[in-house]
Amino acid sequence: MPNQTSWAPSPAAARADVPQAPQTLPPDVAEQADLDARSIARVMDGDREAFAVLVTKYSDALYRHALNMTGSPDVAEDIMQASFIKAFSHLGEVRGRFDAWIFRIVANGCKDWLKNIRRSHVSYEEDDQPSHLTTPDEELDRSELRIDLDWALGQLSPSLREAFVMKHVEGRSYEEMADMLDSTVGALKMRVHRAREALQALLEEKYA
Amino acid sequence: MMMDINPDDARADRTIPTSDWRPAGERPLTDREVPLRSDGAMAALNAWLDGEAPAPRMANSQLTPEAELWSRISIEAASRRKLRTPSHVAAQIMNALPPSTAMRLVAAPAVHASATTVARAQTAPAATGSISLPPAAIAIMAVVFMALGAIFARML
Repeated sequence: MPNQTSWAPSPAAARADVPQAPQTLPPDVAEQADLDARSIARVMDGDREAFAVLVTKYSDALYRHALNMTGSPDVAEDIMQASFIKAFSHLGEVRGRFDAWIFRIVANGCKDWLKNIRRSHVSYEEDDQPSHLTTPDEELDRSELRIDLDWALGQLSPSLREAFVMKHVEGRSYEEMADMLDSTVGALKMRVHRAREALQALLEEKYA
Repeated sequence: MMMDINPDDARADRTIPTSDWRPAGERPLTDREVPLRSDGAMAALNAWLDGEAPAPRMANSQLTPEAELWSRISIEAASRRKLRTPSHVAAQIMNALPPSTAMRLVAAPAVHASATTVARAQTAPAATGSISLPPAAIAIMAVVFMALGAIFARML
């Protein structure tokens, strides 16, 4: 029995597919933005440890994105490190929300890596190390579907892969995705639909 | 590694370079190579996955094979959502940071912030638009300006 609520947004949220940029943030998001702004101010005043607060706060979500985009823990760590160093060096240029800004740095790093991998004469499969989960039990319990899904994700374009990962793996709403990627709900919905259809075409012969 | 921090980048719609050395069948699928299927089954599946409709079922109320596949994918996706950053990464990042961050250029309130948020941000140290300088730097600058003033005074 599928658990629809575990990864699909609420119907009300999903139906709001009219492209529009939110003018106000939900109170909890605004509060987090304020906290981030204070941390940034402390870093700008020379308190390096305040940056550790931001690293700790956002590293899990960013690591998940990088790992699912690249399929490689080592590459994901490298992208994370390079992204946070870049963010630290350009902290004075933050406009708007820090979380969306750092996410876009990481997302661009992932897409650059995927692009460079394609340009080199090393195939994704040859270069990539198998992705792994954090606990040994999960590692041992790795299913055939997991391997096949990794392979199928590797067949998608970076933009389709990004849309699928954000929607299904990270569990974001279309509105949140649009906010993070500075795009529209309609465009992202289309990308997610295309990603699903591509994945289904790749996997259905074996599984459906 | 080249990192791009431009938030306005529109590379999402880029296509794979035509110089890709691999045969067409081995290249990653680009956006346009995945036409949206017009059949009702896929639409029903997408509506279900978007939380807009119930799961598609067959006459015997069993999930369709496609829905069964996606329910399995959902379990895999949920497990990936529990991933945590390896513990050493945060320390590694902090150790790799340059000595100091760039000087604040312009501070702007959050683009989508509410009026309350903007009001708070305008009074917060992060958004004052000031340039922070250590006292030693200010003292050195004062000495330099005084010396320059003395030189100009002699010239006149």
